[in-house]
Amino acid sequence: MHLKIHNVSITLDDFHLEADLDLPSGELITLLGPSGCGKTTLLRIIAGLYYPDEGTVYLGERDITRLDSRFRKIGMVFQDFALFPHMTVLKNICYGMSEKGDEAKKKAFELLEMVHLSGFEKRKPDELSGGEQQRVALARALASSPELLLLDEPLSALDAKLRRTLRRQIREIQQKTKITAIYVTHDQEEAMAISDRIVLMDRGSISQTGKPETLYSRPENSFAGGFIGTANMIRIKGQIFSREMGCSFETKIGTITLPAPIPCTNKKNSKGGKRYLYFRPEDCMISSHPDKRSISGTGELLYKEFGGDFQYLEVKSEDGIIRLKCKPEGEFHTGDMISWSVQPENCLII
Amino acid sequence: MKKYLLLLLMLTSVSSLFAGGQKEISVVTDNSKQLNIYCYDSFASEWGPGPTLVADFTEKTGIEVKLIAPGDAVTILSKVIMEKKNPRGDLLIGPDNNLLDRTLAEDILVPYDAPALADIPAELKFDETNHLLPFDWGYFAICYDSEQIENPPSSLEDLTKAEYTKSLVLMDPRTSSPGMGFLLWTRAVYGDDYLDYWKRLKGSVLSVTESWSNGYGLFTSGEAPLVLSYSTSPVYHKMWEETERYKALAFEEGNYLQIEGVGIIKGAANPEAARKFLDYMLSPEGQEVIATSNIMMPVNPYTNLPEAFNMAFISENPLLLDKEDIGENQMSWVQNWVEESGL
Amino acid sequence: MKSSTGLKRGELRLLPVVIFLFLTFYLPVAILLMRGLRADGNWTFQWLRELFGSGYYRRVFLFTFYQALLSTILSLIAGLPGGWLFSHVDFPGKRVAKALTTIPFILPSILVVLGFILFWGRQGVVNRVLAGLMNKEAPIVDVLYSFKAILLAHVFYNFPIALRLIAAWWEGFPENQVEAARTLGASRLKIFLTVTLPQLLPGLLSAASLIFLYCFMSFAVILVLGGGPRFSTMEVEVYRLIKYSLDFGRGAALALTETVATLFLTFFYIRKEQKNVYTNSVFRKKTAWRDLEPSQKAGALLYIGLVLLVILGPILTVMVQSFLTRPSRTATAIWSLRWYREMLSPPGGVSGTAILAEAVRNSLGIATTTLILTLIIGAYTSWVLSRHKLKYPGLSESLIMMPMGVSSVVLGIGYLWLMRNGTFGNIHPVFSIICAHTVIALPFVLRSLTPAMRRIRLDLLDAAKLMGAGGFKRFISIELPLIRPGLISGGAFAFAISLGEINATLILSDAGITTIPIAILRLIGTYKFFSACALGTILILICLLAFTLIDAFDGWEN
Repeated sequence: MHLKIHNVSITLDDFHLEADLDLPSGELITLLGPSGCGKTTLLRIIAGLYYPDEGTVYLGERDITRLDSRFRKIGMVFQDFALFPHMTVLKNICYGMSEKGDEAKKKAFELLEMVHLSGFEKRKPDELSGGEQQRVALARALASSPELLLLDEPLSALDAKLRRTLRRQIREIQQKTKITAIYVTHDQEEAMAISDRIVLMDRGSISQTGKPETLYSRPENSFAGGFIGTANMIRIKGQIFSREMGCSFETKIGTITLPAPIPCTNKKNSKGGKRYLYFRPEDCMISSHPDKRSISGTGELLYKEFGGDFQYLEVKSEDGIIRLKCKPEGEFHTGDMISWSVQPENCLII
Repeated sequence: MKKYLLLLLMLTSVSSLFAGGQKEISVVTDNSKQLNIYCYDSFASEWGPGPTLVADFTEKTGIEVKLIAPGDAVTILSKVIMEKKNPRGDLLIGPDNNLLDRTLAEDILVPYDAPALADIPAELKFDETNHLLPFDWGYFAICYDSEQIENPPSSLEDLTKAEYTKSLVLMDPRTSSPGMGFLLWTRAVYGDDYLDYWKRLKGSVLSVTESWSNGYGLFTSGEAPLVLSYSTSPVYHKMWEETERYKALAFEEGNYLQIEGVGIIKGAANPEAARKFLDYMLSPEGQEVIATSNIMMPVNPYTNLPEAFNMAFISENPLLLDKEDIGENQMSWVQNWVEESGL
Repeated sequence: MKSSTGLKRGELRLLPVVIFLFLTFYLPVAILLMRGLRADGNWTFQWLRELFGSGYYRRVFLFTFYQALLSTILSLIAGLPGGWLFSHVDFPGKRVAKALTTIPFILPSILVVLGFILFWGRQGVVNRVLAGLMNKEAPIVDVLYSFKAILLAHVFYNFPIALRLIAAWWEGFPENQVEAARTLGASRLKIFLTVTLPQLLPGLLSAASLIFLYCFMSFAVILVLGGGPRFSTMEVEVYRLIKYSLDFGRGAALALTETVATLFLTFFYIRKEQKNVYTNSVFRKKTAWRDLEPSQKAGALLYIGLVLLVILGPILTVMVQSFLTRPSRTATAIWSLRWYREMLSPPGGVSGTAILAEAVRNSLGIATTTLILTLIIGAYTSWVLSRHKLKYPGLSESLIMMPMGVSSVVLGIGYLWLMRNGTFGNIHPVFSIICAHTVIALPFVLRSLTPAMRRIRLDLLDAAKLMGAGGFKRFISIELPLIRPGLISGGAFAFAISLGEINATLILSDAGITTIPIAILRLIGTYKFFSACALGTILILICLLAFTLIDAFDGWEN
């Protein structure tokens, strides 16, 4: 079901959240951001556990802004699962079903099979492992055939290996049931792995929305650039002079003049504000003779790490550190002088 | 599901419990002709004279009787005082000579010159206005356990002797009528010096209990060989336990009297029936029931008594303080006693 | 907060409870207490001034505080090891032991006093056994009729409360903190002193204020076991003034002072408890008995032995005594049912078995109704208190808990005043007794329900809500089952309190309704002490049976 969050805002104590979102049906959408960014608050607004001060929430055509969460047809998986400790797995799953008796049981068994927990129906929550509890919580959330599935950091209480398996299961179940799911996490890797769409949030507002690939390759601001993956960002001072034939601007590592313009993704920030030259470490090469088209520099090698099929280097520069991820060729020692370069087509201005 | 069934079961069983209990009582309350008697709890108790008296009386006269007993004599009195403007009872059974002045002062009774008064000895007629008529009496007395003590004390003064160290159980005058009786007793014997006597007595006292029941319990469970009780106490042990082990002591200074009274409540709905019941209480027949279950002496000399009543002594020197004196000074005597007896 | 999970209209929802309490508690008590401020139809401070001006009442005041403080400290010390044992160890017979700790509560004080005398007295079991062992004649342990006896009896009454409250707190205490401290190399003692105790302290304080309150209100124990009027407390003075001297002005003024003092204590207690509720329900894994270290086992056994001695000693003595007859002081006792026979054959034509049956039926009926009523009112009230924001939460709760600080004598006489004419006059005594019992038991039920209710994680309710459960369904299906331990222990308390209550019952029964404690009182009042022991034995057995049933009820689903 299509979810639209229109100009919603809420103030809780000293925290303020604003959001405006349009989320297509049948996708798995991740609310991603560091803790305190407001992703859980937004989720609770969607769930109806908070009512916003302003704005409207639509589920399909329905305005559900002030609808009691009981009637929203929403399934939710809580951070620590919130299983009812005094009920068996079966009772937990059947709790919200509209079906009764054998029909409910049958459906519960199907759900249990789907989450690979057949045979667990008689257990109590405290007799289950964390992963099992999580899957029961998922089955329970799906039991009432919701139009929307909400998952509030559903894997954060589990260990890394289990997280990988379970996130895949969640993704598969979501794709099978074609339910619109909203998934809250602070783990960018998890978000990249399972989402159709990521909503990146920062300090109470939405920083960027898009497919995982877009967020990775074309971040629209320094927060998105810095939060997803590792990146090099060089501060731009003053104006960017951009012509058809190229562009030129001042940075801490010197004036850069290039034959072609560099795309700028940060549309909000066209006037004033801080701008950065942005590139990924894997696009950065070691080259003692950089060509004129590229952006380059030289600095002392501060740190190196061997990563199997790549090596990771950190080189000192006038604007902090330049990170390189390149083929494990050449033998360097910390303290060596290293020259690096990056092609303009691999750069962005954000 | 099972547990809801169980809950249901419990609820129904409870309601059925009440269904039984309520019926009996509501039959009685519906009857406007009935006689309502306020009496102290042990009078109305299954083991007291009340039920037998009522059964016999109803059989004779056809008048239904309800005993209302919300506590001891003082509580009853306070209830009647509270209801003064709108009395719900007809007869008040319980105030003794210590409460006499207060009862009369509250103006809650009407006088009744019962025919039986003619037979009652003059020294027992403690209210010459006949608002409160005596129905039984006894002396407060020190009782002793003959298996623990060979030479019992023969006077209040004897009690202070070292041989009785920690041997005596008394009651608090503030919460029990024997306790009050004993305080008045010392007051009657020693006058204003009564507190000096108490100070001398202190060493002999094991405990001062709040009620006669607890004190007497200490005595019969062997904690103390001497206890403050009634001259008639040995009668009970003779009658029901066939033992003469416990004996009451007539003291040289005399023993303080307790006379229990009954009176017709002012504004009673059913004064005629109340008078009939009172007459029945004072008849030899009623007196016998009262004497044998209350274990007190009857006021009517023509009462047939079991032989066990020979265990109760008759004092040559009965003591009784003037009721006005009591009414006026009781409070300060008690307060002084609390603050200065050192008990 | 914008949380939609319950925040509005808390005061409004509390209204039914307040109305109930108004009719059954505030009104009757206020009617009586008001008299402390009135003389000759005018408002006056005359009585209060008189009280505070008197050296005697100041001493009574101080003594009341002093004995309560000392009793509280001793009860806490006695309850601490038990609190650990019950919250950390699974041992055989634990349920029975838990049921046993409620026994002191149910016994009418007359019976406790009798038990104490028979057990600790100069001729009591302890002294006779010791004398036999040491070959001496004189009493060896001379505890009764002194300040020591008051303390002993208060510990008897109150350390089970300390034990239960401390156990409940300790249960919720996160074990990983202890483990963390252990990895940091702290010794057991150091862990206890630096990690556990400081965090148990709020729990201890809340238990302490509760126990202090009871000892502050203590009455029969002080009167009988203290051995004399020098140990007079405020409650004793209120009882004396109101019940015997009919001095309502002074008595009410004193009761008013006492009520205000206890209201402060209640307020303090509730504040302590509200501040320190663990929000996460922890499923504590308990150590099995066989996994304890030998030294721990020995300690635990010693403790259990002492507890059994202190609690069971007096009670068992009463029970055994009811089956013993001693032809004379020197003769050996023989087993007999004589006292039971005597209890069942009162003079006159009344059938003894019918009396007993009626007493048992009345007691059970009243107690069960009280139980159901208090649980319904209690569960509702605790739900309102823990799910709604009130403007003055501490004060509201204190007012609801207030019956804890008013003596049953005051309540009973208040009822009498209220019912003396017209409007309330025709209320059947059974209902007024049930009302009085409900009011008296309600604070105990709330005490065990509210923290349990507050401990429920709110996301459980959110989860239920998202699955379409309405407020009522959430209450029935989530909250009620989760507070079941509280319901059971609160219910047991309510049942026991109602079974044992005597002051208000006696005043309200009008002799129409005989309950077991009233029958016991009547037996004692007519020289039949051992028959009273017999009936007391029956009362104890009924209670044990009820607790076993409640326990079985509890065990059904697990």
